[in-house]
Amino acid sequence: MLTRREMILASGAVLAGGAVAFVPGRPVLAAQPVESAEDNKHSSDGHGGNQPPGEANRDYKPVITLNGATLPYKVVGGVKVYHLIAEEVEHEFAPGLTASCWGYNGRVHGPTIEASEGDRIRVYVTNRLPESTTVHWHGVLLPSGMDGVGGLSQRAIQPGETFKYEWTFRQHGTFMYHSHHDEMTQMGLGLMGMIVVHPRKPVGPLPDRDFAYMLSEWKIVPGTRRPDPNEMTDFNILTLNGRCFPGTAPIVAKLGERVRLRFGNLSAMDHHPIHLHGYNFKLVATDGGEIPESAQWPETTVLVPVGSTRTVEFVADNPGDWAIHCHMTHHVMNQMGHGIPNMIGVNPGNLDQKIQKLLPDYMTMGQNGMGDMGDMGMPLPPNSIPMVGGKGPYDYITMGGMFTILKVRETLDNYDDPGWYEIPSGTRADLARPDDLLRDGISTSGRPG
Amino acid sequence: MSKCAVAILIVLGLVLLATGCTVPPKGGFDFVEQNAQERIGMRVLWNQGGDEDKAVSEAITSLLQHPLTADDAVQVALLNNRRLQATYEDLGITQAALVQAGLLKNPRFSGNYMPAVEAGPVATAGLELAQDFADLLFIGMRKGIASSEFEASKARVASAVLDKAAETRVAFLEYQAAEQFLEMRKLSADAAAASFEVSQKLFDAGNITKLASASERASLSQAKLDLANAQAAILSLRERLNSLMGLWGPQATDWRSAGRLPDLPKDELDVKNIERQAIKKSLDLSKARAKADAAAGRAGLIRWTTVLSDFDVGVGVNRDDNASWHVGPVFSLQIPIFDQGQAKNAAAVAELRRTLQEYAAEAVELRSAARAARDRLVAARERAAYCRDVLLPVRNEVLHESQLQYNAMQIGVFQLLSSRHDVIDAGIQYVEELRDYWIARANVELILAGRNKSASQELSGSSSSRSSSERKEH
Repeated sequence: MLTRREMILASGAVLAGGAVAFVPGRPVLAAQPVESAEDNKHSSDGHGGNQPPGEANRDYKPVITLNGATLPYKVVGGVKVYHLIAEEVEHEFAPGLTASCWGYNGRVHGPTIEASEGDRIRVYVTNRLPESTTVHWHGVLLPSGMDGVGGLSQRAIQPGETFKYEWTFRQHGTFMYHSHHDEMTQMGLGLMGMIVVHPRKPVGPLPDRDFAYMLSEWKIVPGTRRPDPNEMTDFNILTLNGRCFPGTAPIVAKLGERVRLRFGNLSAMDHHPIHLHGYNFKLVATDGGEIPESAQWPETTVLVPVGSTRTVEFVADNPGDWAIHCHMTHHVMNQMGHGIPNMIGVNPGNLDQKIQKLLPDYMTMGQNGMGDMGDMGMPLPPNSIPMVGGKGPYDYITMGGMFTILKVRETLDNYDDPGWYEIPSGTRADLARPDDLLRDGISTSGRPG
Repeated sequence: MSKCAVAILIVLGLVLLATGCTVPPKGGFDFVEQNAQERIGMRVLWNQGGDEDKAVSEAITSLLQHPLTADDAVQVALLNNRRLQATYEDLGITQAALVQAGLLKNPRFSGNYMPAVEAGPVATAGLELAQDFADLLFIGMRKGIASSEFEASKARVASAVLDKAAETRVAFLEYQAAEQFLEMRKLSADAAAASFEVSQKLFDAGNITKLASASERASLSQAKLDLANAQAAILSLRERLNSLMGLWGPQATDWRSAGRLPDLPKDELDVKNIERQAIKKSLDLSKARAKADAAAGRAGLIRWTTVLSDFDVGVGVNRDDNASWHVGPVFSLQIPIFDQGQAKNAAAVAELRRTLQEYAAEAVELRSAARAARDRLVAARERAAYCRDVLLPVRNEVLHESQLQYNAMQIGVFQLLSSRHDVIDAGIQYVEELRDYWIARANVELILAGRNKSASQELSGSSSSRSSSERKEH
């Protein structure tokens, strides 16, 4: 904390700087240590300036960050003031797996920064990490000095220092923030979050349910308690808002509601094709802006490249429990080891008895596939989770990682998890009855004709 | 005539006295027996035929019927080792020499007869009975020397008992260890066989290369070779024990050992004053001292015998020309003119000095050996305890964690089995260290019992039992 004396001493040095952004002919304030409690009169810049700060439920319907949070702010002199504290965070990825990560304000990932187009915002960043950091506002149009690239646009924030960033949102859309200093380490440990900027004058139908998702990937060796940021290829925890299935909260919507899903991807090395079951949707925006309706392309899978955001919308008109997940199969596994021999198709015979003489707990695994790996009940290293899934209403769900469930219901009292969808009788795949087989001439012993 | 009669009586008396001395059958063995009992708590018997022998053979049969401990094996060897029995006869030999030293030389009877020549009147004749009386003077000295030699012999035989006991104990410890090595080599081969079988199944399923499978087969071949070596080692160690215990025929093939090497004992031998204890108990020093005593006695004896030897005194009867008989004393003696005994004296004195130096050397070497044995014991205990308390637990922990990582499918079956193999290797190492500890302890016990002969150096030639081949990492 700065003492009052330090602030007074320091303030003189910046009085000339003012607090002005991108107004031609006026000085531009780069991100710099907090040195003045004063400065910062809100200024008009022609991009939504002069408007009162946007207010939730009046100017916009707030975005929901499942398993996450929205960063609170206060308005000081017409400026929305936020405070991010970068620090080490004990984070739970799913029940049974926690790790020491780096996050903001006690969360992994950081809380979503939400604002309205034209809002002037001031973000204080306090560094409680053991090394220097910066924050880059990914996709946000702002003055060069506020861009947060360590060394290029500012000096890095030393441990213990608090920097101040300030700009006015000239755009609306879905953006991200993340460390831009020792990126491999700091992003590998989780220093990132979403930014959602709502339009003042929205075009087209407004969503009833608006969700923001950060996609990321980690390497956490089973039995360890810290992600390994040095990993380049072999990521074993894939997360939606920092959680992997079965740790992800479901997306809940009422039948007929318009749902917007905003995805940002700050994985180290992987793009994620996010696929939604039961629906097609339209890609309505990227972090570059809205896509004209005429160019919106119907899809069932949206590829979210690294360093991009993608926003899709659909009307929840198909009731049920619908999987939504990254379609890369290794991205729906938890803590899969990739150095083991391929056991598929191996007939163990009496091998287990032989090996059990040497290793009483031995059991041949994986010879018929990995589907059983979730609920084998074998002792695992401490702080590790089964490779796949969790219990479903009808069987074990053999997916983990970047997987969650869209739950669409005709009636809802609230948006808490409504439980499993009760599939109307006769509309669920089940064992074929002999009379069905007979009627349709299906022989289970021969080859299909 | 009366003088003559006195001389004859004296001679006869001495003869009677001397013929009264007999050699006791097991002279000196009580010392050996007592030593064995006191110093190593073992029974020894001198099999000279008779009822006792039968008892011995029964005792051996009964010992062999139960699984043998190291003590049992030692007891059997002490009762049944024929070389040891042969050594006991040294006692008989030196005991006999002692008796011999107390015997007077036999009197010498000589005579002459000269038939009458034609010119002469009658034949002449003479008879003499003479005794070497100088021998009488030296008999005490001789007995002293022989007695010292006998003492040396007793010490030597008692040492031989200790040696045989230690040699057998070490051989037995090595045998026990070898049995454990074999057990673990079998496990190791089982692990390699399992590993190979998995690799074969994986290869058959089309999942791994021939290279990977061949590597497993190579490991299995090595493990089988190690197993064969362990089997061969156990046979040769068993034969060494059979030879030490004097066993052959069914007795040699039927005995079993009482299982594993005992764990480290809680209480360690008191080795604080090992030098003093070793010196006090040393049979080697007793022997060297007796040898020096004998050499001193010999040097004294030689000094006298050069001036006074072959001094015969006796009585003679002569018939002269007149056919009348004369009785009178006779004597003969050596005149030391040419050989005054300087050379023999010098040799005897040199021999004495040599024995004295050897006595001192024995003491110095004993002290050093005692310290070395103590240090080796302490180090061996530390290593064995480290193996037991650190290496084995940590290897087992690695295995346990490997099993968890295997369960989580982070490592494969080959790595898991390799961890199991490492546990076996650590077990082999522990048995090696434990065996070395017990051998070091046997060595210290031998020194404390009074014998300086590095049992381990001479007896424990076996090297590391671990396989030389490195396990392939998967």
